Amino acid sequence: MPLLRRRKPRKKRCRHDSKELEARGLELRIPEGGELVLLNQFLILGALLFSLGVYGLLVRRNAVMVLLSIELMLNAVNVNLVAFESFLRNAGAGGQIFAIFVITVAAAEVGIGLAIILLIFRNRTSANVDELDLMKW
Amino acid sequence: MAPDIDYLALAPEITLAVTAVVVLLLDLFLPRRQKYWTAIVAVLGVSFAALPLIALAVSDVGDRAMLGGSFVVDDFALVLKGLFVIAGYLVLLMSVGYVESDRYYQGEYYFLLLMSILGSMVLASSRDLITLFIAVELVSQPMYLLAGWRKGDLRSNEASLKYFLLGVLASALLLYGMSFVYGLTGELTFAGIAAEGAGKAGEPAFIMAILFIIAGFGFKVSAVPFHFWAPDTYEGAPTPVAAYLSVSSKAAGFVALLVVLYSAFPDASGVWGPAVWILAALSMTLANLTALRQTNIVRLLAYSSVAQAGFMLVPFAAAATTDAVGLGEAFAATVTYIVIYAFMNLGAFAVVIAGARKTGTGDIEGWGGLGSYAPALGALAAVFFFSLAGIPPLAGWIAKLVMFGAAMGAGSPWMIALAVIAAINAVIALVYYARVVKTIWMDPVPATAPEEEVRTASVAGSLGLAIGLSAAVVVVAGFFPSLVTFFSDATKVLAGG
Amino acid sequence: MNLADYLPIAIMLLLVIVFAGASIGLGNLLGPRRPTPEKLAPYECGIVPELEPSQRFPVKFYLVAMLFVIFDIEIIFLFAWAVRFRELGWFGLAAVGIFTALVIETLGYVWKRGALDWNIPRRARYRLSHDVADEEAA
Repeated sequence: MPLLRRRKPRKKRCRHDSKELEARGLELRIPEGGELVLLNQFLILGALLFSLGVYGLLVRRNAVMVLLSIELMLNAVNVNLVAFESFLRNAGAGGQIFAIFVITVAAAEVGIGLAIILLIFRNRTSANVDELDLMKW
Repeated sequence: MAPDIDYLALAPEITLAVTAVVVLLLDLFLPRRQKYWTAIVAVLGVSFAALPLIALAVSDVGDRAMLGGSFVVDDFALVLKGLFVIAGYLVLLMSVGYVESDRYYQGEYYFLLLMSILGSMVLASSRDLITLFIAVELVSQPMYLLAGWRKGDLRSNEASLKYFLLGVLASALLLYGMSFVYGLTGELTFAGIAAEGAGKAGEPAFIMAILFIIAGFGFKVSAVPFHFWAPDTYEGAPTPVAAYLSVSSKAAGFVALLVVLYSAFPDASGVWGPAVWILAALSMTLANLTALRQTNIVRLLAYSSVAQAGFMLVPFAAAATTDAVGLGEAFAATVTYIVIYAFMNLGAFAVVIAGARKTGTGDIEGWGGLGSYAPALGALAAVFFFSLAGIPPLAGWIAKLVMFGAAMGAGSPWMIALAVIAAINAVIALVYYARVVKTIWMDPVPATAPEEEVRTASVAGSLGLAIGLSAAVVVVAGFFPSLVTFFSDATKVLAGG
Repeated sequence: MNLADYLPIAIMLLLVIVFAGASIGLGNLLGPRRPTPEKLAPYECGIVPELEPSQRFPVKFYLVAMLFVIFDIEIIFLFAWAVRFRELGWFGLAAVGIFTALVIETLGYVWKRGALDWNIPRRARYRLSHDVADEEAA
């Protein structure tokens, strides 16, 4: 079911703001507070991804899996940022820009992580995090 | 549609970035025997970056804001940039001899260090969430690699991995908190967040976001209970890198915390005040008690730096319970402590590098009698360690005095309790600092000490220069505290005091 | 100082500890436990593994993965510039030019250091010319 029912051919990209829509002859079909429910679903998704990432980071032994968990956490942040951005709709598009930078930083972090893991592979032919216990935690 | 960019305000950062690129290219094309040029270029580049800072400090233009208020060069930014440049310069001086004695690529070392210094410079000016986050990452990410710089050494590998994992966890926590701050206020600049978030201090999501951000920076400044990486990383990393981590990297974390808490969440001080109170009390107490049992000098300094982070957090907690004037005082107290701590801790690490070369060990017991065969080094070690303990008339005393002043000035019972905890901890800290000095001066030379020529070999020139400069600052600032408070008072602009 | 605000968090923390402790403790207390050697073995039949399985593919792939992740992501900034490049004009072009030059410099660095060679020789040659020769000289 489409969220918007069209009465006249639309000229611009539609925005889910009821007043604006009325002015352009569109009718908002989202029930009261519906947008907030939609936002909440994204936030719950983000929270779940983040929790999974934290769990993986703390529990996984294999360093590569730990890196995947890190990606999961940072992507949870991206989900949040983009969901907030589309909910807030402010002109600067700050949330999307932030998300782009987070993606880049995540790539740099994974690159550094892989470099460190490679280093450890060369020295001890194992990528298990908990075998690194020369010094007490 | 070019944005309005003030190139003079950006000149220090541009200088550092160009230097880093040149160092990387030099490393690629120079034959191995001439790689010392990378070190020379790096030191020159950092020195040149200080010139535009001076020009900016004496200019009458006032605050220079650009990019919609995201990047601001005000007195606060200038003082902290100056500190980062000087600290970076001293760490470079310490590194020169140290890096040459290893057999790994030099260029990469200086490139990564320059990038981290660049990050801390940007950090001092950043006034929005994106710039702040990128700057924080630029400070830490090169350090993950530098911690593992001794590639063949398993301890160094381990130091690197532990620092990386906890550092990344911290970044993720920080980002998660930031995403909620953005969502709740719809703003990214700190001024906008402060305006939009004024009435939201009681909202659970807002409180959670602030606590996430504090936890993220707690890792970066290595405050208990987020300090687990610090001792292992300091011990495993090359010692100049540990010095950088304990000074510049930690100061960068504090600067970020100062800027975020004071300029983005001034109305939520009821939320972050208690959280910082707990961090401060835990950091001082637990780290000092653990430091008492340390036998390795670098681990001792690691726990000492965690405890010092606790002392630096005390004025933060005070700021939550006081008025606008007290807010400015508390702000200036933290900056004073950071500036003085930077010099005394860099000096202590430089002495440790020199001492470890003479005694051939990092164990405190092996340092017995250092004062008898290297009296100058022993005396300087005493200067730095007593300054860290806060003995007058050295600079550390001024730092402690200002810190207690801010805590007592707030006047609430909670703050007086925190001041009492700090006072007890200052005494505990004196015990282990004094123990090192006692070992150096009173204990006999152990049988395991290396032979005479190693012990009396002269300290490398650049390292000696680093020790001398730090010692000069620590002693002079102790007698003329106005030299430091002049700068830290200028930083109050950010707190509106 | 408003520590009362933290009361819900403290209660939550307490509940978490009690719940987790109770779940684990009760499971241990109430559950039947009759271990036999077969039950404790990782597999009921077959060879008991003594070592971790060896790595499934060469470590070299990690190097490729690392370089791919880094260089792949750089394009994201070009996308952001591309959708607005008319408005950004010469300033935008210059900025992207500098950015691209830095990426190319990095690529050159990686190349010269031999990280792009699938076989080791070039990297070994670099090390040889930069490290070992020097050690011999020293």
